[in-house]
Amino acid sequence: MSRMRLRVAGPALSALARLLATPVAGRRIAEQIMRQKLLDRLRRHSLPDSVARPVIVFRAGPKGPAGHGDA
Amino acid sequence: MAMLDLAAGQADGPPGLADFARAYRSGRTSPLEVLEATLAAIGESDRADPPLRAVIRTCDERARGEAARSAERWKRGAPLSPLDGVPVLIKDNTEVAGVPISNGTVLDFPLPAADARPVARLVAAGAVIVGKANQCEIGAGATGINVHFGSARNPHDPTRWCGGSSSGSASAVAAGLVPLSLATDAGGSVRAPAAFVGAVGLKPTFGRISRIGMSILCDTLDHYGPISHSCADAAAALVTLASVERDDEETWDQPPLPDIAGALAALDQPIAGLRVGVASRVFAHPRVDPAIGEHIARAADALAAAGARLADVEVPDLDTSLMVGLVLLGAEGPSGMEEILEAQHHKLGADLQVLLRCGEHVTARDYLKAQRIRQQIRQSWRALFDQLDLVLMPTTGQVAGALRKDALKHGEIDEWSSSRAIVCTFPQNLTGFPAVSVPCGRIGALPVGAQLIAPPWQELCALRAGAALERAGLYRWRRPERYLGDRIL
Repeated sequence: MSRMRLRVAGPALSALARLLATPVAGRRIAEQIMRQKLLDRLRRHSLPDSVARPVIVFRAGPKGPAGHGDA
Repeated sequence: MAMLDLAAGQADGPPGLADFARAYRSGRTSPLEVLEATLAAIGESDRADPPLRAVIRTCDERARGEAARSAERWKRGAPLSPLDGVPVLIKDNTEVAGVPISNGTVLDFPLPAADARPVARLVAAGAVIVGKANQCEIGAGATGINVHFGSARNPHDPTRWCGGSSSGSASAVAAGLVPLSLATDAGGSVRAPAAFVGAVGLKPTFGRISRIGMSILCDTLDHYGPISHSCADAAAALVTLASVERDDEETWDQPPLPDIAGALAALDQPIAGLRVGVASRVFAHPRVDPAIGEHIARAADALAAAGARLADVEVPDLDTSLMVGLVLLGAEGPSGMEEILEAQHHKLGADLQVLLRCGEHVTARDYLKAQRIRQQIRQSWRALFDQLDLVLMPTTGQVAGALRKDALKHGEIDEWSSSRAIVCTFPQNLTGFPAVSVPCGRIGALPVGAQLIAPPWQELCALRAGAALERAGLYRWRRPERYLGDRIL
């Protein structure tokens, strides 16, 4: 929980934005921040194949509007 | 004229839609007079120290045309709806024809040629679009900071924020500048700001209101929703804004809503027998102030006193939902604006620059895993509604926080305040289920919101319980420190 207490503002925030904009070091630092704050936890989260369901990102043959409302 | 018999607001409260309709019908005032008073009040709100900054820009000439046509209709006794002549503000991330859109940024967006679909619905109902409400830059933020236009102030205490990202939409309603505003919600941005200012904020079911014309922050999380003074006005707005659009597949699955009179009649129904799950373990969550939990417990008692059947429920883990939501936000945001943001990156605030740089590191595999966990969360919430009609929990984990000087000038990334603002709202952006925040008390001068969550398409059930909470009188309206509504109506 303590990791969720980060606060950056003022000139420090502007400096961080400039730092993250640098091509190599900036990218690496941004990735570290993202991993520490979110991605490590996501990647550790157990989601066995037996319970995972495919995510629908595309649906072929959509049906038309139901005919109600004011379309 | 039965359709205009909206429930009146609290006698001493801010004017709601019914009050505007009554004043126009009686000839006491006209939509043109109300518009001019609204424009003057907006100007005055920004001349105060500190400025309210609820509104980014007004569209005076367009609004005057709409108000003149509305005045003519009222004169003929032929209003289009209970919203005819009512001044409404639109969050700046939404297209209004002929009015510059900035999405809370100083980027150069093309001038919109058409109204976004919900704006067109409001106009077709006779509403007068007054202008664009302030927001966090591109909608990414939970505390309402905007370094470009100034941060919207909380009318109850101008040293505090209104939450985000729909900061101006909430501030304007609470300050009495308009009785209704259109906002958007990708992680709680309708409900949390409404809770922070003592207003009603409704996030309908995903697909209920078309998003054509919204500068989308997150494809799978964003929703439109109204902010108003009462559940009755939220219901009238919902019926107005909802539509099945032939060119918007997202809207096709929705069942029809009744007309406004039918929706209001539904809100008047007793809640006896309604099965309400109280998420009492949330009251002890580390990101929820225990004093907020006490207010929600009182709200539960009020629902029980009105005849609801309460059950204690455990909702899916809030921390997992927050983690999943933030990963999706990082990956999807800002899905529809990538080109313009990349080309004008240097014009963005430092806080947004940092968030965008970090979000680039979510891989496709991370994204799909987050979506799969999201499906599990959604299934768990759906299972709760096999036994329940509603779930009651806090809207936010804290009351409105203090605006800090360093944040006002340079922006801020404040994980703790942000996570407390959205930890209770984010789950319903993952599920797409409807949820409404209704004021249920105060801590000091600052309002507390109770969140009522319903299964898909049951917005009116949530609003019916919300109306019961309003009748219970847990939150009595007090004139906020910044209030200009009495100059308008």
